[in-house]
Amino acid sequence: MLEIIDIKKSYRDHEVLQGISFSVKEGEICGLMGVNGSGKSTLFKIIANLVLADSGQVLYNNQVKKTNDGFGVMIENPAFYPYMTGFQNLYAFSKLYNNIGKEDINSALKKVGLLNVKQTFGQYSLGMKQRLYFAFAILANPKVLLLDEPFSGIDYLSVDILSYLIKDAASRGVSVLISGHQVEQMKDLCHSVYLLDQGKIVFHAQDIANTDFKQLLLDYTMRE
Amino acid sequence: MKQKKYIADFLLFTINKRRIVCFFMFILIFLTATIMSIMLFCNDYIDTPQEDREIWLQNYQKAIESEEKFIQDNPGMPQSMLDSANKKIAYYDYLISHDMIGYDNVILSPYAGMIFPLDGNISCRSMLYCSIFSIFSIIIFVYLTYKIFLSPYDAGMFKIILSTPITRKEYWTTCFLQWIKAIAIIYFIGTIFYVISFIGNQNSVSVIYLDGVWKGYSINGISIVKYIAACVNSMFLASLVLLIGTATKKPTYVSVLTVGLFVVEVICCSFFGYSIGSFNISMLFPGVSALSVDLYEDVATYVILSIHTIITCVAICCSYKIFKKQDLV
Repeated sequence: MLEIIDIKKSYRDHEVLQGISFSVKEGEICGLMGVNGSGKSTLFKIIANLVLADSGQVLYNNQVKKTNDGFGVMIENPAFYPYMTGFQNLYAFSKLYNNIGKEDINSALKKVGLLNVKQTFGQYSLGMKQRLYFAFAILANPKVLLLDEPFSGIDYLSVDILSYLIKDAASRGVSVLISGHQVEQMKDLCHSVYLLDQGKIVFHAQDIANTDFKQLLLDYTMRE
Repeated sequence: MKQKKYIADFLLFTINKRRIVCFFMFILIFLTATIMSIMLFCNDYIDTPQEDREIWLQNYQKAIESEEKFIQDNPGMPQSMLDSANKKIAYYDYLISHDMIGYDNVILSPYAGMIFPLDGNISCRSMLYCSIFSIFSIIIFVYLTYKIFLSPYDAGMFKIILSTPITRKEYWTTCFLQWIKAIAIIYFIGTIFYVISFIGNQNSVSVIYLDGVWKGYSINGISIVKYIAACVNSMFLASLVLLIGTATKKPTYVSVLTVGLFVVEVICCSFFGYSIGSFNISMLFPGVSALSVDLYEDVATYVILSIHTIITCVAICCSYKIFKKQDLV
């Protein structure tokens, strides 16, 4: 289980996160929603060790998380090498893991529908880039997936492929923390959703089907 | 740990084929130019016209006579002055006995520890060769610094790298070690040429005199301090690229700009002569100080060496602080 305990982060005088706490159970798909600037990406980066928190802890299976071992991370736009193919990129980055072979890379590429694509990463569409990034995230068979806006700006086919793969991962016991703006997509995927506003969790929805997220987001955005 | 070993492979793997070809082209041209320079030196040395050789010999004889006269005219001089005068006589005797005509000037490329002994007058051709070496070596330095430290950060790949089991500490430690290793390899190559350059001359370690005045210790007539200065200068320029590239978040432009500035410096030195370059230009464009050497260690050498050492340390510390501030280390 992934536990986020009282995470705080400030940039100069601006408090980006004001004590965030929640947990994601095994096999759960947990959503984070909020308008731009609500602190979602910062929280993801802290969980993925890309940014250091001012205070608070990230626990995984009751132990303080120190590395990304067992985690699959997909944060913001992918930045692979544009002159390499998908396979070459994954092969290069697989060197940073232990025991990932070419079969594992091919398997991950097959899952996202990029196995026989010969184009280089620079020639990919945005949807293909996101799918490659997802393939990278699942490359080492992670126990937790951190997906920050995976559907941002991508085509329907890629959305469907990623949605299917996320559900499939969760059904195999992988904990998924995902953020996004597409309300219907998030409702379709998530078991629970946290609403972030100005660095605080302001709402926790467990009855996803009957929650009007659009109205909630509007209310929090427009309030005084 | 297996992963640590792979970070190095990873860094190298990310240099694509086209860049590998360019890199080896640099090395190839670098080595070719070096060999040409050595040949140039040999050629100049062997082909020094007879009339020039006679002038050089006369100058040496005059210097010896002058010192001998000085000793005769000042019988009560302090022992240190007497020793100094005798050393000068011994030095010119040595040059004559070893037929080292025109071996009073050398030039030292600042960025790879390359040494280019030239004949008595610095020719444009020699300066051009030296400039070429310097340009290629600095390009390699800047490229390595960019590639190792800044390119993953610049391209946003840092996020991907750190989202693997690699920790920040492992990543930056490996980057730094790679950097040091790259510098060490370049200096190793430079040192080989350094050694080769004095194989044929049996001059080995000696004391430098210029116009009869003690100017420091040398190996084969090349100042040791200048050699150290060349090493420091490479670090200096690379650390500046690191600092400015980190601060501006535009390492690519900074790298290109740095190389451009260096080329301008070298051209300036080539045109304006190397005595002008020895101090003024080197202070305006600091990387060039060792290029524009006089043979000997002068005050400028020590001043520049000290300034560069301090700035190098400050630049590395500032880069670290900026990285730290941006949560990159």
